[in-house]
Amino acid sequence: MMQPLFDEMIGTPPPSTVDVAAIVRREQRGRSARRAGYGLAAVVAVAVSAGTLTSVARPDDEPRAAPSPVIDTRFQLISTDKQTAEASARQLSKALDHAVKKAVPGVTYPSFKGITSNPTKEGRPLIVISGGRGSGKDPVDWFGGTVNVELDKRQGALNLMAISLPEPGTPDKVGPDGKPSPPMLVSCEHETGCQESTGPNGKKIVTIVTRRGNYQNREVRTEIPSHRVLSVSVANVDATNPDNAAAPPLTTAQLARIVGEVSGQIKA
Amino acid sequence: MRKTDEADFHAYVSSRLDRWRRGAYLLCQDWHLADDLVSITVTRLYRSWAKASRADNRDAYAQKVLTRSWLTERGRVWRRREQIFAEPPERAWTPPLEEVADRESLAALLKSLGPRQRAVVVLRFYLDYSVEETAAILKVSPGTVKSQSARGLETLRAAALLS
Repeated sequence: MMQPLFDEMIGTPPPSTVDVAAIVRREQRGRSARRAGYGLAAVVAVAVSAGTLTSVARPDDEPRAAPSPVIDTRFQLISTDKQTAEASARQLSKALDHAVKKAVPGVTYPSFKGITSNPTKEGRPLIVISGGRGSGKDPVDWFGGTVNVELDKRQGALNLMAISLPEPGTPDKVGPDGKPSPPMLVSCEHETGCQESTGPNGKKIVTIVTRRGNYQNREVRTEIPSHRVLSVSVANVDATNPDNAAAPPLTTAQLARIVGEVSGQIKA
Repeated sequence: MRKTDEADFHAYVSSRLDRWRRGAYLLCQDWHLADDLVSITVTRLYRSWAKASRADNRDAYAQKVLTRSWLTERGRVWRRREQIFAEPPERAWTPPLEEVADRESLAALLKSLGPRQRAVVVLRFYLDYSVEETAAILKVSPGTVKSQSARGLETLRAAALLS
């Protein structure tokens, strides 16, 4: 008696956007990456235990070798003047490129007119630009950029933003539609499709997934030194292309690894 | 996963996809969210296929994954917000006009139910799970299923009589 009523309510379903093949491919890639990681961990564990045995066998009066100096490759995001801001932006570009290639083997930066307004040249990674320090009523500073990405024929736009957090009590900005535009925070307070969790580096992250029609945007944010938020997001492009219609080419897990890697390179 | 298991997985999922989408739509009344829920379900099923394929009732296992994913997300206040992306025209899906009035009234009735009560109604009266199966899917007692479905059923029967 009830089912016809429900079927009437459901009506004619629209075409499905569930891409089972893409889900399986993504899971298989994730498993391969995890297996490689476990194999490496096992090698490291054996090496560490061998090292431990060696140190126990050594006589107490034998001098130990001095540890090699650790080179700190981290950098600061400084935007006090144009020169330092551009230097910081270049370092952020390099850090992102390294993190993307590490988290997403096989990704490329193609040249196509996608969602980006400034498509980069073929093969060139994201070029971060600096918004510098605003003046007067708008004291936020930011670094950001967008680049086309492609993975397994699926195309998307990868975006990075590092923006200073507003001082407490600062009123929300007003967007072009006249509505309040809440700041970018590392919380789900003003967000939809949002989830708070801990990233691969043990720090708090928020993951936000939003959709408009066949377009989906995935974003991961974390806080970085100097009271800033780092956001890396990816959206699919050209939903008329069947390879793109399902979802962006990068997963939220990959974005979380990228964010963790980049944020680990930034120091106070 | 072995090739035979993978073939089994694909065959199972493709035969159930429509039912999962319809059930998910009844829970959240949004096709985009429904497809997201089904995608999450397919992902989790793939990861635990060794266990799922050996379950006494694969359908109940899969439905448990889907329903609990929705209840978890619903608990986090998973709302939609407009975001501005660049371009291309969105091909909006619009339902046939003659369906709108009936769909809206039943949709409003379902929406008036709390998330768990709505899940009970969908599982019991659309997907046809027993009280015990519904209780296992939702991890509640059979008594809770009975009491939570009573009010919902009363409301829907009234709607059925009027339609």
